[in-house]
Formats: sequence, C-alpha cells, structure tokens
Amino acid sequence: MTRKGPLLTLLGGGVLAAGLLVASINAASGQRDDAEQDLAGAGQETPSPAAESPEPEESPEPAEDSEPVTYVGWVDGGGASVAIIIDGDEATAYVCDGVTVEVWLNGPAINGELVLTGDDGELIGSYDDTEATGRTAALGREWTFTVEEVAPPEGLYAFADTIVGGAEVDGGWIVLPDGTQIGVLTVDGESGPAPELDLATGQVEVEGTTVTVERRGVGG
Amino acid sequence: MSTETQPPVAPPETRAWQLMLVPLLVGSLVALTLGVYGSLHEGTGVAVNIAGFTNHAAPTSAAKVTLTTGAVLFAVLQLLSSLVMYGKVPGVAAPSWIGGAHRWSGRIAFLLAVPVAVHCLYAAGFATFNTRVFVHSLLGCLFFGAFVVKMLGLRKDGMPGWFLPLFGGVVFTGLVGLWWTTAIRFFSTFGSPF
Repeated sequence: MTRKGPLLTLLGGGVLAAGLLVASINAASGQRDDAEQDLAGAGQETPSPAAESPEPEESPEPAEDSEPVTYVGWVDGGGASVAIIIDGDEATAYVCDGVTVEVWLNGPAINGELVLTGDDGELIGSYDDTEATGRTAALGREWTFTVEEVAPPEGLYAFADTIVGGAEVDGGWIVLPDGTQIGVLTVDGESGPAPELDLATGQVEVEGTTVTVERRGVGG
Repeated sequence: MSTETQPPVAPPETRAWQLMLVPLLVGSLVALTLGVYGSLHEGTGVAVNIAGFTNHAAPTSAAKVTLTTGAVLFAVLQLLSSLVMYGKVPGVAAPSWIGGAHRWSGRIAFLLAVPVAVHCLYAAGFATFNTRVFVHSLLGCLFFGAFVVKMLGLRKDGMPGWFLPLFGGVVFTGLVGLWWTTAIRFFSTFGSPF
C-alpha cells in the first residue's frame, strides 16, 4: 500500500492529542501542587497567623491570597439550592434539594469562570464580586441559577464522620440570607431531609447524638 | 470502481471482510481505550487552555464550542464534497480539485476536534450523570473509533462499496451529535462564544 495520507492524518491527530495531554497533565499537576500547599497551610489549625514568631514574614505565601468567598441561593424555579465556595483558584459547589438530592462538585475558578465536576453532576458558570451564575446538573436534573455572595452565618455547612454508635453520617446544609436551611443528611447510605442546625452553636442532633457541624470555607 | 473483468485475488466477499478486519479492530480498540480512560481517569476539572477567549464569561467552554462548531462546518464540506465526488449531485461534474478539498476539509475538521476531545477526556472524563452527557460520552468514543476505521480502510483497495458511505456517515453523524449535545446548551446559556 502506498496510500499514506490517511495514516499521516491519524498520526497528526495522535501527536496533537499526546502533546495536549502532556501539557494538560503539567497544567493540572501545577494546580494540584498549589492546592496541596494551601491544604498543608490550612491543616495546621491556624494557631496564630501573625502573632508570636517573626517567621511568617519570610514565608513565600502570596500576599494576594484572600479569604474564601461563599455564594448561596435557590436555583431558578426554586427546586434546589446551590452553594459555591471559591478559595483562590479552586471552587467547591454543593447542590441540594433538601430532600434526597445532594451533589458535591469541584474544579477550578479561574478568570471568573467555573467548571466544576463530580461523580453525579457538573456546574458551569461564571462569577464576580457579588454573584455567581450558570447551570448545574445533578443526578439527572438540570437547573440554571444566580446566587449571591453571603457572609457568616449564611453559607454552607457540612459534616462527615462516624458518630457514636457507629453510623456513617454525611450531611450538608445551605443557609440562605432569610435563614432558610436546605440540607440533606445521609445516615448509613439513607438520604433524607437534614434536621435543623443550631447556627449559634453549630450543633445538630443526629440519631440521638449531638454533633458539631462546621461552616465550610473558613480556613480551608 | 474500474471496469477490469475479475479481481485477481480470492473470492471478493471473503477478501472484503479480511480487508476490514484490521481497521475495525483498531477502531474498536481506539473507542474502547477512550471510554476506559475516560472512566478510570478522575476528571481534574483543569486542562491546558486552548485559545484566547479570556474576555468571555466561560473562556474554556467558549473555545471548545468554537472549535467544535468549526469542525462541524468542515464536516458539512466533507459531506458535500463526497456527494460531488461520487456524482450524486445532479448536474454537477466533479472538478479535479474535489478530492484534495475533501481530504483537507476532513483533516482540518479532525484536527479541530482533537483538542476538544483531549480537554473533555482529561478535565471531565466519561460521565453518565444524565442522558445528555451519557450520549455525549458514547458519541465521543464512537466518533474517534469510526474515524480510525475509515482512515485505515481508505488505504486498502477492494473495500465493499458501502464501506466509505457507512463509516463516513457514522463519523459525520457522530460529530453533529457531539456538537448538538453540548453547543446548544452553551448557546442558550451564554449566547455567542465571542
């Protein structure tokens, strides 16, 4: 066979794909390194950011590193609520209908664009200083949304642990500006509406045990 | 097909299937590899940026939608030029350059689609969380698999007459389906990618 054209076409595509894949792996691992550094920094319980030792001045931490920003609100039509936390160039979103549907999504937040993915959904949108807008799909359903930036105690709360008695508990609560809580609690794989969270103490009763739930986005 | 009396080798039907075996196997392997890689590899949500759409609200998606739309336009040229080549358009005689035009429009369409696919595979992966993304994921694997079958099949003489129309048709339909399952959504959310 002397017809090389089609083969060269395939090879050209293959080389292009391989090159982009290598570039993507580099891009992603660069971001992962950043994220690991952030996590390492956040994991140290933040005992004293600036006090006591003069060492922090020598740390290479970029000064522009700002606090995480939280956006929450209903999807258009009100069938579910969305919380998005943007921490530097990383974002986490929680989409929840308050009954059984809850999905966690992660991805980059770069140049005002969100492309978040997870096992059971995705979220594509954009954000600025006051709001985030876009589309999200979770467990087979799709919504559009525009959600606003909020400050504590509004925001996203989450809990995931094994409680006294051995039950695996996983919960998420979105607290809206009007005080409404939309949450789903999963106990040993069974999902249902989450019990009301006491925002003053962060406590909630699960299966007869009182657990403390943390607001996501502060300190990591 | 020329009007030579008899093909010099073997009964034509067995030979056709033998000829198709390798292209079909390689194409299936490609489709399978894409699907398996997309399922196993955890979507990173990030990949190398393709082009400069930095002023757009969703720059990565804008770039992907633009590349895919470009690929579809060149694929339409593919369909038209192949119809002309085989004399299927009444009153239009195939000009001498039509073969070259067909080959190059195909190459451009394919090369436009590759970066989009790499991004989908690497940043998102094979997803099944709703019908749209499931169909999209399946079509992505089908498209590149069928394209490989067609390219490898092109290199062999003696292929049955339905080979190119069938695989060309699958490739074209696959690409339009890929475009349809994503770009429509983008256009309705953001409007123009520019």
